[in-house]
Amino acid sequence: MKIRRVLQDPSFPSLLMLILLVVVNAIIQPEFFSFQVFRMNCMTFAPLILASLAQATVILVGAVDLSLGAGISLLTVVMASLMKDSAASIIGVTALGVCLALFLSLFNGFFFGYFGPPPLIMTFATSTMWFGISLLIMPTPGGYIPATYYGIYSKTVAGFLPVPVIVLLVAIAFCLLLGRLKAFRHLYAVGGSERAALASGINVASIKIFAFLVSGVFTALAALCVVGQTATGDARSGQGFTLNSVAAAVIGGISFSGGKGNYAGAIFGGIILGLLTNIIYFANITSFYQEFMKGVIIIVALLFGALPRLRRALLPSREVVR
Amino acid sequence: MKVLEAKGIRKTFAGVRALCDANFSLLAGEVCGLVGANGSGKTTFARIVSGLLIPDGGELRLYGQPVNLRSHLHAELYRMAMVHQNLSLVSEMTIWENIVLGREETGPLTFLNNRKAIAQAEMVLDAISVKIPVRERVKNLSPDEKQLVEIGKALAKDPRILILDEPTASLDFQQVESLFRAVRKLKERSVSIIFISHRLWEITEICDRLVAFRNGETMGQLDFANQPRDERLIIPLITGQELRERARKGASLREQQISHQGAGGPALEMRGVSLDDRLCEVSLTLRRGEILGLGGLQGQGQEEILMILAGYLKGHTGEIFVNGKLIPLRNTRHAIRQGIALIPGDRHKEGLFLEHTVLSNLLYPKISLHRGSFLLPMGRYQKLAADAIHTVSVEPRNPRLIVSQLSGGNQQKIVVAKWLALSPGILLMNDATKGVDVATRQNLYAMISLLAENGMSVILYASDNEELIDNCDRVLIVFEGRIVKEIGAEEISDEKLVIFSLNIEHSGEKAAVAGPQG
Amino acid sequence: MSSNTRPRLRAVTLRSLGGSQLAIALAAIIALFVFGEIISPGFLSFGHLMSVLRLSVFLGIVALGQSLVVMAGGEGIDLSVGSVLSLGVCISSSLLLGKDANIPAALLGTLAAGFGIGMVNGAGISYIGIPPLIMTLAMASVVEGLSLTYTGGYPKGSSPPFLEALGNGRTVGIPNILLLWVVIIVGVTIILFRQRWGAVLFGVGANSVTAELSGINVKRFRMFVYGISGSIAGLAGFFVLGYTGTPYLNLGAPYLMTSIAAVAIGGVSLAGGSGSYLGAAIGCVLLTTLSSILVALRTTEAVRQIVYGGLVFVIVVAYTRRRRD
Repeated sequence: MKIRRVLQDPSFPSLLMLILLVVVNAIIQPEFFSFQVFRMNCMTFAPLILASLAQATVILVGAVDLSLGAGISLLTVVMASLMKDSAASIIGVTALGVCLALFLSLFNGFFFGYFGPPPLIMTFATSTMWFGISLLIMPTPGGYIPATYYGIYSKTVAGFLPVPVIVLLVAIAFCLLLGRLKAFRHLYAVGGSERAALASGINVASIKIFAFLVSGVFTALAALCVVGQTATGDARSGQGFTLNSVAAAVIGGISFSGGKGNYAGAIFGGIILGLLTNIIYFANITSFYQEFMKGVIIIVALLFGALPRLRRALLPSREVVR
Repeated sequence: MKVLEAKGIRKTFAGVRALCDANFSLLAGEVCGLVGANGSGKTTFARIVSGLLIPDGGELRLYGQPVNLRSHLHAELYRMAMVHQNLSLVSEMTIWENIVLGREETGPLTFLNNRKAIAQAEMVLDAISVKIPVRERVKNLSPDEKQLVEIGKALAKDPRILILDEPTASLDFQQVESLFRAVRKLKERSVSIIFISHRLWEITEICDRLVAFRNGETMGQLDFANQPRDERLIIPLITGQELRERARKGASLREQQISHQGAGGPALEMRGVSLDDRLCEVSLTLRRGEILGLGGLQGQGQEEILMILAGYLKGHTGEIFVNGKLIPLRNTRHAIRQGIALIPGDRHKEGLFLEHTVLSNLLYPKISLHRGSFLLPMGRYQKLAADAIHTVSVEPRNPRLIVSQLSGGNQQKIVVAKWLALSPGILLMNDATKGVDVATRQNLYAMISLLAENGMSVILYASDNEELIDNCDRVLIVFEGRIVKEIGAEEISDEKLVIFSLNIEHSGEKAAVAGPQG
Repeated sequence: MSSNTRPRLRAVTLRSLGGSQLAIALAAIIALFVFGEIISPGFLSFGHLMSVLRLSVFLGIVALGQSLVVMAGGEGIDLSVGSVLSLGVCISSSLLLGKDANIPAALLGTLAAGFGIGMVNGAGISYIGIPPLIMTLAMASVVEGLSLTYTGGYPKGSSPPFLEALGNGRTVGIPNILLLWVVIIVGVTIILFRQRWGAVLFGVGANSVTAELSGINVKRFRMFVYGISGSIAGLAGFFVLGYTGTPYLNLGAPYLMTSIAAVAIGGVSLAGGSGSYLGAAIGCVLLTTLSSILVALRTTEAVRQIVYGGLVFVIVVAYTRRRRD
């Protein structure tokens, strides 16, 4: 009984894919299982996994956030402009960054919750706005991040836990906490059937805002990691995260219609995309082909994730429409 | 004690007077039926009473105190709950999650107590004798189970007044019985119930009293403590006319015609049609001008048969002959070109474009078949649409209205008219008059009967046995994907339908069958 | 109720064309032009007006494909139009090589390539069930890669005289391409509202089950709509080449999001089943005018992005708010 529930969990196909890709990656990339490589991978994967969690939250409530990448960029730009060497500055600017991330998501969430515009276009508009602001603050990549800060990001704690992993553990703890909240279950209800949620007396607008707020927390963590990794502010640094976070969430079993899927899948999806990037790089594909391969592989991964639906589509239609 | 009393309720929508003088009262621990044609105002009244709508005038008293309900949540504070049809369940969630949804006993940012919630859900379902495990996901449930969960959800609010709005639409008699068992249990706990339904036999079975609406006002009452439980007393209250002659007279006339026309060969024949595990070796013959019924419990394959004939379901084996020719029926267009038209059961999901005009809806199948001229002959099409509106008496008659603004009954008329406009040789009806009032239904069937006399053949599936009895020449009972019995014109009776629907072989078990009028 | 004496005209009512939303968009365009004249005299001159309108044409063509995809329902969207346009530029130029004689071949090749890509999108979306947002977004990456490999990083060729005359020339003072666009708008409107295909499209977008039961093969229809959108994006690339003369990589990037914004501004419901191309066309003019003003104000790209995004944001939020009332 328990096994059946695991097998039917929406994140299960992505787990399988993950295992497959680990194997492939191990074959292609030398010393994949060495600690050095593991640490490097953690540093690279962490932002994407966190972005995937952020996007997953938004998709679960029935929306999408195309401004995710631009938000991360804006955060890197702000932090790189303000941070100085002193400990007070590092802590202060980091806190400011987190607050900014929350503000950006609240902005999206508020208008989405109370006015209900199509999230696709709304977040596209805000992404353009964040991009413009980033360009205004820092027209070319630069800024300053003290060595203390990015040094932390590449450190290892207790000999076996790279700092990015600790950040991920914090995120996972946050996920577990969320799972027990009433508002979180209402999030699933709103995403699953807004009409049903309304009929049950749920304040749909505030749940939508809640979802974006939670997403902001993950975005903040992702931005902190990006800054730790690149030590620069760059208005374009977040661009890749948008498509990747959406793809990661969907590959991880988060249904685009909302209300279905879980954070485990989002995490698997993020790791999968990281592994894919590795595989493409180490397979010695020319740079011309890399974007191409990435797109193709995402489609294939989606195919794989859509397998249960695919099976149903190829067999004679099982359900009469109801 | 009157737990609810409404006097002189008025409500007008955009120039249309839905209610002008509605009166209603409900006593403690009783089940009071609310009946009326589509457009009589009973739905509007129910929504006002449950707090979903604010009336323009009149007085509403709950437990003797006048109230002004501002929202359905406000109504819940007065321990009043309304059960809709599948409007408040999240299909991805489990039963218990749905039942406690919105009422979890914690603050928004504090932790949930799942164990308590599960226990609560189990208790609620037990109170209405429902045996489904609460950890099951709603999407895996059958329609009647979902309906029971909806009731459970309303019950979890511990109401003293419960409004059931068409709870039995599309439920077969067995499912209705389990619903009634739950209702009786509620009565034992002194819950007062308003029961809204078009199915008169249900009203006579379960209600203590009934109130009939017509044209926005209360037309009359029946108290079954003093009067016989006879549907024939109810119909005049609803339609304001004397009882129409039952359509069965027309049926026997048709029987003669059918044997005349038999020489032309059957209109449709299915031989050995199977569809994975849902249909097994289904064979039937539809004679020209005949109205053939498909009976049986819900979900036994009747819908699949109709959907295959309509070309919508694919992947079946076996042969289908239309007018003697073997036809593969690969898709819906194929079926339509063969003269087959399907009137679907769920008009919102399958029958209409809700945000389009009446005109656009009526013409769609015709337009989709259009060949020849590059531009559409709008002049000719508009005349066709006007004729269609006239034939089925859609009110109001404006073809430019948006369909979502029409009442349910009129919407269904549009669905029917759209398909009849193709002059089909074979008409398939998939529980097509579900949720339509008695008067409209009689009109529709009279029209169909007339067309049948002129050579149109009909296969009709209805979850309401009465519909089958009233309108069919023959009925085939479907059980677990097989045709198990054919009941001819003279022998159709409710008792027979029930017995064969349950596929009971031995007559000894007849006594155990909880039939509606048995 | 007035009689149906003039069915041909009545069939295309103001409501079906977007009604008051369009009026607001038109008013906004006029307001912008007046503002432009104030800050930069000569803005409202006939010549400049024509320039702005000409610039809108390319966006307008891309927006046509986008409109059709959105109208077909199922949360349809085509995020690959930008990269398909870029690919169209590359393929066209490499086939044209500056010669008029090559035009038919180049046109055919570009349309075919766009169509093929669109059909892949459509197949993944309709038959496999991948959400349109993701499928087309992923295809955009694929097509970008295709452009790179096809050109080896250096797009070759150039546009021939006829095409340049089309893209840059004027007749009676009106840009040729603009005249072409007007013809296209009229033609598309006729097809959408008076022709079978358009009526079928609206039904498919409004309720795919009802449409299927009425004899339409919805999956195949939607797949073809994506195919058409792809070929239209390629066509847009073909014309853009005529305007620029020589090809560059990534010419299509700015057109993607603006096409979606134009479609939304123009009153095409993102849920499908309603709207008109005329609305989207007006949306294109509005957005292009806005860009033009921002350039006239000599703003930096940063400010342009902020204003542009802010405006689209306000419009989208305001429109939805009004529709709810």
